[in-house]
Amino acid sequence: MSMSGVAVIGVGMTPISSTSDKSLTELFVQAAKEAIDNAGIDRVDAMYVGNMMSGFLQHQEHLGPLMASALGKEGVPTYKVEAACASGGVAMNVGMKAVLSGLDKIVVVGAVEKMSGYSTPEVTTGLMMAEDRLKVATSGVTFVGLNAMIAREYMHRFKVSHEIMAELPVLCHENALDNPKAQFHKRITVSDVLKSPLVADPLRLYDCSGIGDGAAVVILTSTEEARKFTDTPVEVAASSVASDTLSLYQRKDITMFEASRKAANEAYGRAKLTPADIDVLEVHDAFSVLGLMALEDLGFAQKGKGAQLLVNGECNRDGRLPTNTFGGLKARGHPVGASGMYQIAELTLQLTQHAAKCQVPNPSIGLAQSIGGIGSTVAVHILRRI
Amino acid sequence: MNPVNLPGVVCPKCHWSDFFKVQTCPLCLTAVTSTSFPGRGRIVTYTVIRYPPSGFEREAPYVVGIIDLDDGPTVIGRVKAEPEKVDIGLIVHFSRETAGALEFVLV
Repeated sequence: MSMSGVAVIGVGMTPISSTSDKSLTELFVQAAKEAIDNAGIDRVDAMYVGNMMSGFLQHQEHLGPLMASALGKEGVPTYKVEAACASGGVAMNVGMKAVLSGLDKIVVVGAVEKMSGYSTPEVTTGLMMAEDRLKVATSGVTFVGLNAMIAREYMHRFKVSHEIMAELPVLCHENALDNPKAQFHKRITVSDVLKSPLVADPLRLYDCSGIGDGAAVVILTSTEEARKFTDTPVEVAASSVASDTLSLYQRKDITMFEASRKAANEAYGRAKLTPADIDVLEVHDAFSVLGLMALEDLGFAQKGKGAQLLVNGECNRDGRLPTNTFGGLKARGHPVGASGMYQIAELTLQLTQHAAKCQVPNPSIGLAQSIGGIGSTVAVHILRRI
Repeated sequence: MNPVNLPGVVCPKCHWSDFFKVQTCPLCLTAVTSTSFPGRGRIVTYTVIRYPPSGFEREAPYVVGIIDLDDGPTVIGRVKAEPEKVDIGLIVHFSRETAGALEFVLV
């Protein structure tokens, strides 16, 4: 049996904004049209749509046929994929498996989220749907609050100062200055982070990703077919998803995500690679502390030492491990269910040397980590230039 | 003042326990039995909610913590105290359950 892999042959992304007048459908169509044009495909065999909150916020479900028919593709099999903030990453995993099965030759995998235009309590309630409604939400804790409890424990146990933790949002804002599609184009300092208002102690406003709307779409086909469409296909070297308890309080150690470690180890194994092989990295920095934990869980730093990479400049675009090169969730933006797909699209641009002012020097292997809920789902993708 | 006992469930086979009243042990799938735990515990970590979800707007700011019971499971609940008086490692007592939420007080 010949084992063809799966390749990304086109990408599309909308700018991320909190003042968008575009509907959920218009956002998805804009990104999908860009990806379809980019790949130069004239047919679609299946469509996967990642999204977290459309049912709650827009009172709209059944996004598969909604998006397919808006693109004139009614008739194709469609699937909505939901895994909270990892919806995009998990949609990528499912779409990749469809192509790997050989049943679908050309697949559209996208993700979309519209979060603006709602009150803070409404969005806060929606995000908390990633945790257990009956066991945990009853306490009045918010999603930021759960991450804040992680941050407090992490800072306490590993003696990590807020100043050091703030290096990540500072780096993300710096990188996003060169990304025209980023939500925030504003340079910030460590002092700005520490002076920003408390959201859920100890996390402050600039520790947290914002509220934004956006869609990202990629086109997948087999590695065998990929060169018919592009001279620079990018192979999905590994796509792994792992899960953990839905609730944070049931974990033995909340300063690491077991699902991150499991998905990463499986992905490295499948791709026959190690952390030292990764040239460019996208981590799920919805909150500053999560970025530090990601550097540790993905095998780049010892437990409690993730921030050291930032302090040493290794995560800068000219460093050894360029991280969140388009601004990450913090500054590119975090339209929750779509973020995992933005990461795939951005890594593809890096590996094909199309990242413009965000380009890092000649990368050949990239890794993306997408977290759903409070580490309850993690998708890890390794992409490789072929 | 002695703490109030905290109601919950325990697995008769593998001794898994939780405050939330499930019917089946998630570790070994045995039917659990009702029990109660001494309501004394220690704050593992906590936060102060300043931007609450719908329905909690009038209560903010308030403290939520993860509490490790001395003789029972780790749970999540409200700590009814001034935020600046709360810290990791402090002893708390369970006081009551309201609308599915556990409430603790500093000792």
